[in-house]
Amino acid sequence: MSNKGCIGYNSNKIINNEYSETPSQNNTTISESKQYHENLSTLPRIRKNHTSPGTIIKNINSVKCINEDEDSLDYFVPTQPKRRKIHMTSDMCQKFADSPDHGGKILTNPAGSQLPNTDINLHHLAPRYHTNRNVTAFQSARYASGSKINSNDVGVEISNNSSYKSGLTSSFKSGQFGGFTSAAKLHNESPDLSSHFDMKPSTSFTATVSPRKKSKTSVNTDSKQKSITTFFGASSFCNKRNDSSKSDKQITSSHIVVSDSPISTPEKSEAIIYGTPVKMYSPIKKVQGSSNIYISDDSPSDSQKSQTSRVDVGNNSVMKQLFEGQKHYQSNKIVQSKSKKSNSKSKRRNSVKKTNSRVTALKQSTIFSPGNISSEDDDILCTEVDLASEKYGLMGSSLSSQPGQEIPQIDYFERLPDELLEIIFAQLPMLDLCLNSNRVCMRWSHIISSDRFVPWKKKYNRLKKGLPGAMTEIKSILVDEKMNKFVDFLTGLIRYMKKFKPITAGNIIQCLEKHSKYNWAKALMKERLTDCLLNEEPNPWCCITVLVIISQTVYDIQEILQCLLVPSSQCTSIELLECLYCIATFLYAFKTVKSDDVWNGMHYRLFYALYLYENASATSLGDLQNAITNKSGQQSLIKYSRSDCTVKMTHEQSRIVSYNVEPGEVIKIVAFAGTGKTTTLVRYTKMRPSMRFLLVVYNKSIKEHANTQFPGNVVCKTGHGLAFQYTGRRYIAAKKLRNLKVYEITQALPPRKGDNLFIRAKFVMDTVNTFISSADPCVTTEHVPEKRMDDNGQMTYIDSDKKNVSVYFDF
Amino acid sequence: MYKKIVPQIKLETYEKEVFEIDLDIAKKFGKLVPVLQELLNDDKPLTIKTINSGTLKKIITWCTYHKDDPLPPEDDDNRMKHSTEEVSSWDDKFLQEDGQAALFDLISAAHTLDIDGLLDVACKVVATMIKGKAPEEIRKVFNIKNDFTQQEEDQVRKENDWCED
Repeated sequence: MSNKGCIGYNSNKIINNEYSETPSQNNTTISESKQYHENLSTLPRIRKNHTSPGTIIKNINSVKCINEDEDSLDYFVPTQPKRRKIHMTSDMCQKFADSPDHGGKILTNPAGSQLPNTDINLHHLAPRYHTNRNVTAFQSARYASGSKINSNDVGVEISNNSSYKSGLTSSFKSGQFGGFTSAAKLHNESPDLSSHFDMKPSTSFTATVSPRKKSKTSVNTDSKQKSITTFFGASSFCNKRNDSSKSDKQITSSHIVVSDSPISTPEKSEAIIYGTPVKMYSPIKKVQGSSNIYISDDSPSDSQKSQTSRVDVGNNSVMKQLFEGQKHYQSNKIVQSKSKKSNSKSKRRNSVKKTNSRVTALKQSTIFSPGNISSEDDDILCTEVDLASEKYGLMGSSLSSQPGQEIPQIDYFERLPDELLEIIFAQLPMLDLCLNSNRVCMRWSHIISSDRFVPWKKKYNRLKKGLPGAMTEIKSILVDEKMNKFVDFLTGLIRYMKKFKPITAGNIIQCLEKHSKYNWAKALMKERLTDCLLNEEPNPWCCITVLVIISQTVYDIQEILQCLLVPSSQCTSIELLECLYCIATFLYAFKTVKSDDVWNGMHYRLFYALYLYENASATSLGDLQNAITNKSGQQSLIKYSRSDCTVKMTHEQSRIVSYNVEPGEVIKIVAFAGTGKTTTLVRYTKMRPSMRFLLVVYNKSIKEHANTQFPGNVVCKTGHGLAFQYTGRRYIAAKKLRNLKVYEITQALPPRKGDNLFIRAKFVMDTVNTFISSADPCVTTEHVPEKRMDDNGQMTYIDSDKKNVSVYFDF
Repeated sequence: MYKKIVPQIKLETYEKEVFEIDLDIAKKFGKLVPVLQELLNDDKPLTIKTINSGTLKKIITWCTYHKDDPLPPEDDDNRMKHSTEEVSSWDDKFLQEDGQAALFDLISAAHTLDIDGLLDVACKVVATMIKGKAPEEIRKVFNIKNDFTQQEEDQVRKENDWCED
């Protein structure tokens, strides 16, 4: 049974896209093609991609064309008169597919039901290259492993028909990429795929994509992409040509065909490739050995230029690795001898050796079965295709090569005992412990919630948050330790700290001696707290407490941390932090019991030093990327801003940046001036290019500055500017009323008997001004002033009835 | 020419490789190793099967680097910068250069040998990797399996509500 549905790129999603973008299509066509694709979508070669509109239908047509020619199907025949059938409409295709003679079933992969989630694993979309050549086709064939399902693979040819071409060209012009290349095919060999399916991928695939010279407007990345494609394509091509003399169907023997054979290098050959003489193809890179990579170029004179430019592209790391990957497929003596020299890469050597044994068997063309290609090779290729696809940002970043995927998935935490996890967790701020880390897994949650783990840190934070019970607990300790009197606070605390913890670290006092205020502290203890000394040596915890108390700046406390956490110190950070948190708890309690600046300052210095210690670390961009990359189909500008982002973010900033705000949700970022709130917002917006943001700032100069800082998806407005745009514009006319003059009003008012015109005009002016200042839609009695001047120059109150009258008359 | 003989302790790793460590260095950092060596009191190397050679090499490199760390300078202005930044940046680079596996090996080895200084800095590096990340991200980075049910997770979240502002 043949497997026809090789063009399995199309998903319903794409069809929908297509429909929406090409309204001229009628509904039935779409739904049919949709159905058609549903059949196809069960195939293992599915690519969920961004195929440009217009091309899909063409693809289908091409498939159908082949179906019709099933009996006399040639694997790769450049020009066929029957190609006109490409003009079949989708309806025709559908009918044809459904007809029992030609077997609509053939199009359906029988293994389809076994492949429920194929598209999840197939994130890699290779770029498409469009052709405008009149020549036939470029074959980039990649043959998958021997199938259990098909014994007879059938290539599907996408012909280079003019309508097809126009479709491609239009999509090319519109700047869209997507589609199929041999690079994508290579990915099909990925080991993870085959591990997902019981059956091996069986569809052979021949895409006739011919590289086309880029228009001048195309960007550099395109050329990189192109090189990659051409690379694979060309290698397949060479092989193809070698074998074409025999039988086309030979190639379909479920093998990966790689270019080889020094005998038939294209230079020697007089064959016409794409209808262009061979000399027009300039090798972009000569991989050691015999295989050349040829790039089609429109004019021979340009070939030299293109060569150099493409070699540059080859220098790109992606390309380098790509070629490195390709080397494994090369089977020739040079590679072999070279690989023998490299002792370190025994794996690779093995794979090459295997390759060579096959070469001798098959003489000119090397045929690899996928089993012979080490998974390492595939990994390299897959990674490169990933990288390439990421570079061009064509297919979202759902699987954009994350470093974590290359390393084996081992949970190293499992190997560590709880006490080590405690040491690690002790370094985390309370916010992280309570909100994130304890929700990672049960074990973490147990460790963090255990009473044994950082009890003072928890007490301190509960106390600060004013949790019920926290204060009473501390107060009971104060009473027990006789610290409840103001004068006993500090001495009581120092004495209490003596019992804080048995001293395990031998050299803790030696380390403390390096503190600039140690001697001061020691003298103080000798004078006042002799019971805290042991053999003239102060108790280290008491000493730390004294140092905290006598500290004048945050630096003094930071110095304690530094002294005790030098590498040679045997004092662990967990016990030191606990000690400091214990002191902080009491200082905070003192502060609450007796409000005084002394306690305030002491507590603040300690709190701030601890805060800085816990929050000092900066995160790298790589960390941030993890937060965003799970958004499929969404690109992030962060990739492109990698070079200019020199500022590392603190983990607090990264917490904000990686948080996705839900509609209706408000997040408030509270921070001091100059601490990087705006930088955080810039980063936040850059990472979400698909969203639109409104930034409201105070004044115009900030707005102008913000415009230069923020990416294009942010609209910067001042508060007034925002209001004016929607509401203020309506009151432009009201501006004229701003500078009303009494005289001007007298000119407009009709004279009335018994009324001073000027007094009346003043009265009107007041009313108008009140109205302008209000938000009311029209003038009412509300706006009429309470008093008005009578003829005698006396202010008199106006009756409400009269108000109505005046409004009525004067307005 | 006179050459000072430095007393050394010998450690044998998992791969049966014997390392000689200057006792000065060992004493300065590990609380445990010198004690064990004295107990043995002969030239036989002390076998520690839980540590592999690569990790021990790293430990020795680290200890040698920090053998004579400069004391914090006396003047107030430079006090902050000198002592922490240079040293910690070297440490960070040193600890992270070999990836997660090596880092965790180093933590267990430092724990076994009771080298508190190294244990602290290595744990701090891991803590930095955890900081500021959502639970899902942490799981992803460290390949941890989520064994919470939704209810349990909600419960934990509820219990720690007070921490939120």
